[in-house]
Order: sequence, then C-alpha cells, then structure tokens
Amino acid sequence: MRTSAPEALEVQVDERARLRVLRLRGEIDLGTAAEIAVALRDIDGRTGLAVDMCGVTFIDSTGLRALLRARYRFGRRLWLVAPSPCVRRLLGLTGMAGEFQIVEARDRIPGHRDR
Amino acid sequence: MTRSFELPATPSGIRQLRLAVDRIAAEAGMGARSQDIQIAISEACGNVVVHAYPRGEGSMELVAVLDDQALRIVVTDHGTGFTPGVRSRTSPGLGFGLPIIEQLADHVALRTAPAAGTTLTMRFDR
Repeated sequence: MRTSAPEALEVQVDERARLRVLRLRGEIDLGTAAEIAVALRDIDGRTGLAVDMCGVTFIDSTGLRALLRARYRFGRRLWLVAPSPCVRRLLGLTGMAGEFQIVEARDRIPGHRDR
Repeated sequence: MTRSFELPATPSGIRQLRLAVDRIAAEAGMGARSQDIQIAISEACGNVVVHAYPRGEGSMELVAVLDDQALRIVVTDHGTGFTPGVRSRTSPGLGFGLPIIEQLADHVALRTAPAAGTTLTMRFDR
C-alpha cells in the first residue's frame, strides 16, 4: 500500500490483483487534486480502479476534473465507491453522476467480491 | 458585520478563505448552507488562482458582509479580467465554476472586463 498525506487530502493506493483501490480522505480542491493525478500515474490503465470516496469531506470542480480524467483513462473499469454526501452533491449540481459507475461497497463491483 | 481577507492568489489560499467564511457562517447560524457556501467560494477563488494572473502573481480579496437578511461574499482580483460567456481555448478548467455558483447562491453579480480585474458577488440568504 502506498500513501501520500498532504495536509488536507490523504491518498492511499491499495494494489490488488485485478483491482486497484484508490482511497481518498479529506478535501479535494485546487490545492490537493494534483495528489490524485500523481497516484493515478503509477496505476496501469488496463486494471480496474475503485475510488473509495466515503471519506471525502469537500470537493469542488477541480476534484471533479480529476475524476473525469480518471474516467477518460479507465473507462468502464472505474468505479466510485460509497461517495460521501458532498461528492454526490457536486455530481448532482453538475449533472455528471451519469458519467460514473457508482457502487455503495467494493464487493458490489462485478467480479471483485472481497474474500 | 464585515470581515475582509486578502491573500496571494495561490491554491493554499483557497482553503484558508473557505475555512474563514465557514466560521462566519457557523456563527451566523447558517450551518445548513455551509457546504454550499464553501463550494461557491472554492469555485470563485479557484477562478482567480487559475485565470486572473497568467503573467505573474497577484492577490485575491474576499469580503464577507453579514446582515439580518443575508451573507454576501465578494471576491475580487485585479488581474486580466475576461469577457463573460467567452471561454478561452487555453483554459485549463472545465467551465463549471460560474454555473455551480449560480446554482448555489441566491443571487450572483459579476463585474469584469479585459484588463480590468473581476469582482464576483454572491448572496446567500439567511
């Protein structure tokens, strides 16, 4: 597991066989969104990517842009897991909820049930 | 009540301003709108950091005015300004900032022009 912990955003990458889990906790804005891009750089776009967002306490359009970049790269192999209320709020405001596959728990991702 | 803040237009300054206004909103009993106010401030200040000073550094100013009716947030820069409705082809953003603010605030007023800086006023009713 790799971790970077800037002041307001914690980014963890959990490397599993066929699914990478990117855990985000804290605030995603212009000051912290680059940490997500850095973490994604090392993840093979051919694997699945689950972005655990239950711990996100703030997100603005900069964070949405980071998610859309991930969506562009991973396509249907990207899932947003348990988005927190602020994430859902922003997706609703921007009409972008339909761009993402959203699941309430990682074991709801097809083919990736935890053992 | 009026509180004024002036910071360098940097990404870290955005968070400082969000938190400062969040305290003001909480003291005013506007906690239910806190998340929306923070998003709007982050979008407004983010626009300053990204767009206002392409050739160097500059400042962003935020004035919070609280009265019986509303909390008004005024974000000002002295940068390049822009033509509303015309997106730069080189803009790194998504263009969501102002549309998001317009959904969250009860009233929005924008004053800008090329080379004249920008003032964005957002009103959140109590």
